[in-house]
Amino acid sequence: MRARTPQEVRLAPVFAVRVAVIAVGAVVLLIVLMRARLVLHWIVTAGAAAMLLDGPVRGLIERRVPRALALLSVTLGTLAGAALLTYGVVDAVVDQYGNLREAAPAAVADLVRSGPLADLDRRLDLVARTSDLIDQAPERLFGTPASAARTAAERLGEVVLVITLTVFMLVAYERFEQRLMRMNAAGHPWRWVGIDLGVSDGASGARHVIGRAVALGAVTALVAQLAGVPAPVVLGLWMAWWRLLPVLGLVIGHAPLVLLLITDRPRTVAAVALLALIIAEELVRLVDIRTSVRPPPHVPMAFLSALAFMAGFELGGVTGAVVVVVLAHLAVGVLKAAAAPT
Amino acid sequence: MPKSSRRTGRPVRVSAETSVRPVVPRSDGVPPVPAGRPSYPRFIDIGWSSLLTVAALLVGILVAYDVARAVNDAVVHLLLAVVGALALDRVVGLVERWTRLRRAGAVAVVVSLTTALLAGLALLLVPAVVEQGGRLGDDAPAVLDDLVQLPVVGQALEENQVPEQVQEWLDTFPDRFSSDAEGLLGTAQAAAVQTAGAVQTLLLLVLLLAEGPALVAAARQVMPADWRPTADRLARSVYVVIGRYAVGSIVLAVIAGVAAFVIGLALSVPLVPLAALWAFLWNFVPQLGGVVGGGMLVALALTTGAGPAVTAMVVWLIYMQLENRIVQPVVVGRAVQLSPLTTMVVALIGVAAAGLLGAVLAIPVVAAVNAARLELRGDGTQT
Repeated sequence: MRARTPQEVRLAPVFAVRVAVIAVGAVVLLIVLMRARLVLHWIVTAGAAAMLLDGPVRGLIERRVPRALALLSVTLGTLAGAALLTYGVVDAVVDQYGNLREAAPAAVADLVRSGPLADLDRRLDLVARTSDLIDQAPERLFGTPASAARTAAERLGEVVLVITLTVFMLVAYERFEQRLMRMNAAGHPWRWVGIDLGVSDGASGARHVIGRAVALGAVTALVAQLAGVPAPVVLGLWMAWWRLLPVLGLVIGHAPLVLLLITDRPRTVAAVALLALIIAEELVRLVDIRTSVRPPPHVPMAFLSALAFMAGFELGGVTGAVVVVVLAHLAVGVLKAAAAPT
Repeated sequence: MPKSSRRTGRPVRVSAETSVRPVVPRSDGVPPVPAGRPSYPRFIDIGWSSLLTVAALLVGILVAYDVARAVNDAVVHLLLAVVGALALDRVVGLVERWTRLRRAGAVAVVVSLTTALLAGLALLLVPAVVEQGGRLGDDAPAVLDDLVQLPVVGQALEENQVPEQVQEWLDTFPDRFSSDAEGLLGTAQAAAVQTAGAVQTLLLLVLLLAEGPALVAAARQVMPADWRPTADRLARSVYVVIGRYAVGSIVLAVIAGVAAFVIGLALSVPLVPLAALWAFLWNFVPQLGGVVGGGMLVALALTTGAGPAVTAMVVWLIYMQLENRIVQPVVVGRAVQLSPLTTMVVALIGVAAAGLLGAVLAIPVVAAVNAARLELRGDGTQT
């Protein structure tokens, strides 16, 4: 019997070089990704915003508006809307804070005048504590005036950067989609994915969901304004944001306005306002059915949206939730296209 | 691709995608060698594209890990919801069949009943805990006097003035608690965060129950067709394991809570509902949960005297034996095919990795991995 000779295997020198090059490249890429986390957040946010705004731009172009003018109109319109909303929110917050400073200590004084809290008030002086708490609230929330100003300046810089990136991406979005289509037509390895259709489908779904939330937010703000409820813009924004969360968003979104209507407004006004809200919800549901943009039954969009909303909020707060919901729709669009029979 | 050259001494290149020569299988356990050729050094080279794919996968995994770490809470809520959904899925299926409701309706019925049950329990427990908690301060002097009469530790407690210190701590507790505004705010904030977390988990649970079948169908549709049979087998065995584990854990925890309640009532232990709740919650933690869960009952029994404490401890130990040897095998069955040592080690690692929640989730996760391994090996049995 012949002795067995072990087979000797060596790595080709060129392989070792390749492994080293790719390992170094991967490490460098990881370091860059980790260090540029904030910039990546801006880029992703701008990308999501550009994807959403591309819809109105196309709508204008289809109405024979020149592309440059369409881009300018949508950009300026969005900026004007954002500025108005910011003004509305800041104005309402300042106004309500002033009201709170007067009302809260008085309410606590009423509460502790008799009953089981009276003894607690003697020991702790709850009214003075409440006043102090409200007086200190701005500093607790935003820090000292100097640090608040610094933070505001930094945030403003970030917003300007994201807006600039969004405009650039909006300009390039059409080219990006055309390139995807050319890749498909040329038999690119990604052809099986049908990624161009997926991106388009996902973007359309995201626009629909955001559009629905904005519409419901606008209706809420309008109803609140007409019913004389304070801070209508804040209530509208609250509603618009929460409506991105399926099921529970409906309840949480309506809760503050409904509570204020029931507790603070005459019954007739409250009833009419509630009826208007119900009609708005029903109209949105009908529009959903008529436009058939609801996902087919095999896409668990409610679950995915809820998960995206929660993860996005943890990742980047209010904006993060919106961005990740948009990205979730995009991902579902691409996966649907991938799963569709070729 | 150039294959070899013994004469020229140039490297043999073995691509990652193709084999160079046929290989003769051997029956003696020796690694197969290429047929008909003497041994000589062979060089392995893997092309750029394969290496780049591996590197991209590694980078992707690391980035995904980083993102998952950043959304830690959402991941925890999701895991809890998945385990809960697997536990309740059979119940939803039964309700669907019995009532002929659509899935969403059946989910609404199951979730409403579960929530009502929990709310009812809370309504029963909370007033009793508050009432008995209020009485604790009045009963404290007598209980502390009893403590110094204990056989072994009584003298040491008296010498170290433990009863006086405990009494002082109890007397000043309300003032300390209410005068610390920051502490109160912190407590309120923590309570709000926990409540929000519970609501998030509940929402994900409901949506998973309602859309679970659609999620499975979508996942099957996205994966390549030839993976589907294996994925189906794996998913089925993981579903059985986690489902039975989750249902079994809930049932065992309820039994433990009731047992603690009954023992406490029989021995007139103060704050019995709290002890029952403690035993119920700790019972989800494997191995250690039983001991720690009963610890509260024994500690509270100690406040009424040494005799009731010893009795409570003995009865609780007997109950634990009954649970481990009779109830658990019947309720959980052989769903979790892990040895007690493995369970203990896994639970400890779970605690180290993610606290109490890690201990609770570690067992079903490892059991699911084990079930998948057995299924792939062909040893999977319908538990």
